Amino acid sequence: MIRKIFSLAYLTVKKHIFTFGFISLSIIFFLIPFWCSYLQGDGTSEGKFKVFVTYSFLLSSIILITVNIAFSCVSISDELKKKTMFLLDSKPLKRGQVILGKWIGFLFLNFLLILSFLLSMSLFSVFLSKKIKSNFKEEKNIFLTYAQVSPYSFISGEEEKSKLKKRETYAIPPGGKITWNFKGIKNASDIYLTFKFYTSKKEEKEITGYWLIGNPSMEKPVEILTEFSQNEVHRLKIPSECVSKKGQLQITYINIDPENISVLFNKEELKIRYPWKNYWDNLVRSGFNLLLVTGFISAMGIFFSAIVSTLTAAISTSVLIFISYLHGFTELIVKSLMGEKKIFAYFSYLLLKFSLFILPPLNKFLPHIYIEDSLILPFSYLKNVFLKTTIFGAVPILILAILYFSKRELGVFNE
Amino acid sequence: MNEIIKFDNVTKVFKDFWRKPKVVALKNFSFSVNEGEILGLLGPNGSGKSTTLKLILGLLYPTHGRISVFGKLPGDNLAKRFIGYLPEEDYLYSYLNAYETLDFFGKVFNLPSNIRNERIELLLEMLGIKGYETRPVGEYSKGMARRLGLAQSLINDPKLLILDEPTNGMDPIGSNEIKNILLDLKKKGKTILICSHLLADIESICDRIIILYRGEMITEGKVDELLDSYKGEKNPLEKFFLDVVKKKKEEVKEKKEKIYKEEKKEKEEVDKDLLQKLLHKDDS
Repeated sequence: MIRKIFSLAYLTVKKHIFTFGFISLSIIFFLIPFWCSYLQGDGTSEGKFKVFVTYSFLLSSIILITVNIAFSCVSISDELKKKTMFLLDSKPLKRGQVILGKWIGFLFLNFLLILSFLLSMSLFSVFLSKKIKSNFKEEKNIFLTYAQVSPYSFISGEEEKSKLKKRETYAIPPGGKITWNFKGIKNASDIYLTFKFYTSKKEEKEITGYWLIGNPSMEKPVEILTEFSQNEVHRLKIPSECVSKKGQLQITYINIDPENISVLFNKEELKIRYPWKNYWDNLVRSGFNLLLVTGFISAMGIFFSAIVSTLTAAISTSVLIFISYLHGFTELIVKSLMGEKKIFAYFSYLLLKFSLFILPPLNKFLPHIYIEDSLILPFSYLKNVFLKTTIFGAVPILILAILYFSKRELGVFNE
Repeated sequence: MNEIIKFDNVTKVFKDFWRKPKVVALKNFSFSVNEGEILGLLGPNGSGKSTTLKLILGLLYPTHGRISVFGKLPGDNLAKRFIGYLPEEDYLYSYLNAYETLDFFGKVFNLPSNIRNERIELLLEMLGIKGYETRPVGEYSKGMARRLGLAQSLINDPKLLILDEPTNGMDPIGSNEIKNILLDLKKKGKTILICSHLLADIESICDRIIILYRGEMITEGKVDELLDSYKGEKNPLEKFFLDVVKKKKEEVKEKKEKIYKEEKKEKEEVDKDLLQKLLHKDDS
């Protein structure tokens, strides 16, 4: 069975690999980092490198999505149109094997394109780092990638705990305090707490705070007195001895500002950040992440291709990928439709809401967002992408395609 | 004798998008193909020959009736292992060469690599493709593609060979070669079902023929017996075929005319009644 599936996968690969389109694409994927190496960014060495990496990944993912829609939507419908499927179906093959073979073939083609892109990224990264060193004369390790850890729990005033859960901020009243607990921090020398806060008094510029940094096994925490301005992202250096061997860290903030105002910390911005792993490790993880996303898209294209004609399949897949990619934008449309009272608006609302429910948010699953912040893609993130795009995405879609296609009468096909 | 294919009162109706009947492709069609015989399926265009083949292969499902192939339902992989199929047109992958095509289909039949290579060499030689096996199929002439089509249908050494217009697009030399190959296969005891418009080929190869017309079987029998009264004539099967089809056409035409006349008569009577009623109403 596996041998038959791989024979069919080989057929898919062979169909595309030596075509003008595929070779051109491989060259384009190789050239994307070259084009992006000319982007300037914010004028700093770090900025230039970030722009290079982010735009390379953004461009490649957009092209990969388009290419996958184009290739996969042709897969089955083209075989039906050219009637090669008649001959294939007369052989001892299950139609499910045909679908799986095609999907694996597309995965391999995507793998080759991503590999070409990653090779080029590696080459131009080295080239760019040398260029940056000579141009900027900065001693910055641009190949460093950071890990980011959010607090897993916090202790605030008992009476406020339940209210705080639903809010987007941690609020500390005058004289009040809050303790954040972190875990899973690897041993590193440059550990920082990044945060952003604001107060009810906009005119207040410098806010005085008192920090206690330690861990449960530490006898006396380190005390730090700070004066930070509001509405800006700050970095507070964490002494490395404050992190326990198990990677635990406890940070307490006491609001001692003499102006008697409440301080509100933004939940999204409050994170521990430290250098971990390197850029090359991240490239491999990002490539794998792209492969997962393209696997989902090709499964969807094959599904529609097994049901309808090439054109209809391409339109249907594009619409769903558009919704999936622009998750946030689609949510806005859904919300705007809520105000309408027409039946069409009501059904559109239900349909869009359902689409959002079943489709993975591709814009959040593309690695350039992580890469922009020089963050390593954690395995928990990759696991989440794998679950949503493959286990709850591609697999059910392929099962549906196999169930439908196995029952379909192929002899009546006329396009 | 073992029945390799059995059709029992098979009807196939093609339906439109709204599931309403559109075309009746086969009407209560019953026939069987015995082991080791060569059966010719004849009929004008649109008579249901291709539909019959597609039903055997499981590409279409019957609306009524039962079909069995090697005692299994059509489309069963156990039955398909023993079938070789040559479609009407060359539905081959243009981006593969002859060797890759045969290798791919050999893999689909799970043939071990040594047997696969042996058969590929044999078939390339037998069908005159040797020397062209590395050229992509897309560059082949129609005749060459046809030869390759036949080669792929023989890769699994099938017990049942289904051939749809096997000599379609081939020159007389090629046609003759194919005919000789089929006669060789007959000697080896293979069962063959052929659809062809070249009646001279059918006549010399087939043991038995079935003639279809508009989804109905109009004649069935052994070639010798059916052509007994045409002995001594040039192209006897062609003459027989044309006579049978012409007769059926006339029958259908007569039937249609009869129905049309009856309908017209009924309509005239209804109109007459209606006119009388109207006149009666005006009088009153």
